[in-house]
Amino acid sequence: MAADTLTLVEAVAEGLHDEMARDESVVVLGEDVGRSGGVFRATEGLRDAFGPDRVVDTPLTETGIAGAAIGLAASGLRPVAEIQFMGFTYAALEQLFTRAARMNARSRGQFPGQLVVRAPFGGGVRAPDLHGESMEAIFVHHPGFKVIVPSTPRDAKGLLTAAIRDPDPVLFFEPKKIYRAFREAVPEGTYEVPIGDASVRREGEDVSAFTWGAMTRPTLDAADELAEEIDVEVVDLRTLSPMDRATIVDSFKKTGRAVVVHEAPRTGGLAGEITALLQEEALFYQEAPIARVTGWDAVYPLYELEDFQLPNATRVTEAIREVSEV
Amino acid sequence: MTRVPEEYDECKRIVAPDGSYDAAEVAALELDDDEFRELYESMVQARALEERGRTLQRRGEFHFWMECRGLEAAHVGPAAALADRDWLNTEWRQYGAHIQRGRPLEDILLFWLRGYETWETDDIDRMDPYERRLPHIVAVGTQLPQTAGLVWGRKLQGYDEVGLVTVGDGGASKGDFHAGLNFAGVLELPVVFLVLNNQWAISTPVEEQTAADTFAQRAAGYGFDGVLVDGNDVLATYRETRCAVERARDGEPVLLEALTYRRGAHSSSDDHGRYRSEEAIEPWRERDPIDRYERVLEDRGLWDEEYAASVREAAEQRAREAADEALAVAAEQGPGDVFDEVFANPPDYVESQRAELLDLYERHGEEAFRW
Repeated sequence: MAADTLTLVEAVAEGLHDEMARDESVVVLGEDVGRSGGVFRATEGLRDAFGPDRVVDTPLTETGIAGAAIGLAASGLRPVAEIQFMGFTYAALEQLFTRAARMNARSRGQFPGQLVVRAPFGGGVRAPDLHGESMEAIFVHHPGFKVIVPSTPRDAKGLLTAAIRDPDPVLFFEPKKIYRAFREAVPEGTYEVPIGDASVRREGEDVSAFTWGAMTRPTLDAADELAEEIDVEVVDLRTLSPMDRATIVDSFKKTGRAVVVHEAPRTGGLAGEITALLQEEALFYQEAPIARVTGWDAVYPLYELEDFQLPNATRVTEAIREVSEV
Repeated sequence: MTRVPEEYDECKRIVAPDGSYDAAEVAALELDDDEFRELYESMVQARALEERGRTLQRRGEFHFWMECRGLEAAHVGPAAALADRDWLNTEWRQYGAHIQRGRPLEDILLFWLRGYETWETDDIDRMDPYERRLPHIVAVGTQLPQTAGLVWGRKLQGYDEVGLVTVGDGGASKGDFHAGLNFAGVLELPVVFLVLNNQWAISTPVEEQTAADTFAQRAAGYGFDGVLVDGNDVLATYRETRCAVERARDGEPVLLEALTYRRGAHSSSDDHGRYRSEEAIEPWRERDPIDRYERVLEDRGLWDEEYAASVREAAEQRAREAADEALAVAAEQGPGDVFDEVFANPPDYVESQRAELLDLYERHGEEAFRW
């Protein structure tokens, strides 16, 4: 299979393109997705390729976009809705919680909510307020959704393809800090990376580091930095709901030590969920307290201050050292 | 101060509150005798079902019930105006609309007993008219953009189907009202929006809901027409919806407002004596949609006391049977059903949680779970 070298955002665009070419029921809707190709260019070229009926610039209303996507799904199409930033999903939460997530249950499968909501998320790009949110836990907490966060171009394309084909409502959160941070060979043509499988990015014996999205990079950097003294295993969850519990638990059983790294605020964040899982499934393998390296419980700070909000390799390195020394 | 349709010169009406009407306008509807009678029988059936539901709630057999008396013409007439292939997304209390579309009564009742709905077929193209609806979900107003999306999708797939979506006067305050109408206007979608202005959102009267005279006038802001119709006149709600459906079919959405009045409580959990008097309701008993329509039928030789009694009796009988059947079906639910269809493609943990609950149930018995 030939491969192109793509950035993460280019891989998203290619994934959409290839799946729209394969399946004519796929439609893309959102603010600025058509003419402009999206504020991050994630839908670039789609309108030229598939026309304004399938790539639709909508009025500026997140609740309208989400609601229309739910209706489009009920009609038998496969909508991929873009919400421009995760912080703007707040305006669509009622549609997503009260309808998308329960359409399948409340219609007993008659109208599965087969839709994808894509939203760039996370900080580190010096954006204005509501553009840096990392609130994936609220969607994981709500039953009925699948929640995906890719961290590489190859995964982005394969997971997005799997998301579009999945019969349930999928929230596909794209870490915008790494939209263009690096390139990777991405297979041509359509392929799926299965929903629900974590990826062990780096094998190790001493400490497990669990993370996803943009935080995968500083976590890998920390692991590299410590390589001489501590053998760190880095697990990129990729799918937050359903979470790959088996891979998480197996890794922890091997190392007995864990650090969870996410940029979302700490309280109520998924690090708590992962810690609880390890307590339930692998308590007697535990050698040290589980450490959380997270964003602070602060309203997302702007510009220069956001550097203090986001976990970095220094904090991850310190946490790995701490759990190693117990 | 409740508003009455007669205050509005532009309010569409065929039958006046005293039962008088313009015979030419009735004739122009081109309804046959069966169709005239069906409107009546659907309204009577809705009222009988509503009375049955209230009784069963008081007896403790239903946990919750929504009331609909006095609203039957605003529910039945619009539903009758749809073609079989069209869609009807309603809110919770519109029993008459579903009855008019042929939905089995026990199916209507089962929504309240189980919280979910079922369809006979998986295939949209083989659905009966009454199946062409999205499930009820309690969040008011959210159905408006969804209906826009639904008929948009059907249109993209080459179908010629109109969506009629209803919202109450309270739901019309939600942001989704604006989102839905704006979407439909911009994208030229075949949607008829129907505000069922029954003048109460639980205890909030319509004048505290909006400072506007009518909801219909909002349509101008979306680039299409709004029509105010007497919601207690079943022939008028039928005619105006039929006109709106024709226009929507050509890609021109329409906003209808049916001005009516909720005579009952909001629900079985609501004591409406706390916020309004019996005297306030009286003018609307005089505008009763079923009584008003009887004179039209009588003049056409389609109504007499004997017929009315037999329709009422049969409706009550059907409501009783449907309630018994629905209660029997609902009683068959088991704990494992909690997990059914949460996902179309379920993750493993759904099955492990189901197994966990069933194991507890097996070991402790049903009684241990009842609180």
